[in-house]
Amino acid sequence: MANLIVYEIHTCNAGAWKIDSIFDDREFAVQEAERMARTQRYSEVRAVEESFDEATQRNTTRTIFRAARDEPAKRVDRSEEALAGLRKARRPKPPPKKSVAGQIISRTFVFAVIVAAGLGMIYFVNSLF
Amino acid sequence: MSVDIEAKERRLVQRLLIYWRELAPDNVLPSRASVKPQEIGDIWHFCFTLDIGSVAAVFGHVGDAHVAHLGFDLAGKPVAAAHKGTLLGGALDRLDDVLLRRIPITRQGTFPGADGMPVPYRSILLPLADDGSEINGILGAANCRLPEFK
Repeated sequence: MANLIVYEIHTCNAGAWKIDSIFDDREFAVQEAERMARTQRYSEVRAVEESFDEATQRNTTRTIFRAARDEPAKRVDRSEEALAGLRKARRPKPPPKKSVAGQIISRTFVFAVIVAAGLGMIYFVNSLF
Repeated sequence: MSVDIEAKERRLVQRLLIYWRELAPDNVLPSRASVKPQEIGDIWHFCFTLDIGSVAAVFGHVGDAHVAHLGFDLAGKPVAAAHKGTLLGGALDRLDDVLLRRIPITRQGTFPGADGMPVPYRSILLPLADDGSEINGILGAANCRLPEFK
């Protein structure tokens, strides 16, 4: 089963987004989005990749270019995006931080267990003689 | 070399898209009368127009390159005369989408050449409306690597 991919340019003016045009060529779509952004005619321009997986019947949308008026345009590089996703997925979760009171209680408990074990050992040794 | 040809095909589509955008202020579709062949220049040979009526869409202008490629002129003929598996047939593949979504759609694909080998092409369809809203025309272009399109 194949993935169907199209690229859409979306424009925003006065807070309202609209689909401006559709391409089946990623580079062409990004080039045109860049050109439109340079005209300063739109408050925002973005190019998005719409992917439809026939096997899973799932639709995926991903922004591949974005620009806002008076801000530098940004191509969203595919490899950068993938790496960022991987890093996020691989990053181990930090252990939950204990409160100060929790730390005191747990340390006291460990100390008590050690003392009890020591006393138990002394009692055992004394009971042998 | 193939990169140059691909860039040339893309430029044709891009130039027509830019021209159409200049005719169309925000949220208003350009009229059929606003399309001026003399302004479009050399790429007019690769262009075609459709008149969208209440019954069927028919070809208006069909560029010289397409007439030379087909061996006849489709002007005045219904769009169904551009068969699937031909350059114009492929270019019109997303006509229904353009009429429904009212936005430009570009397409690249292949059609079988005279020798049976697939010939890559690139095309675009642009909606036109004499009242700025209801689509009653299409400006399109398509080109490929065959000699008549050079």
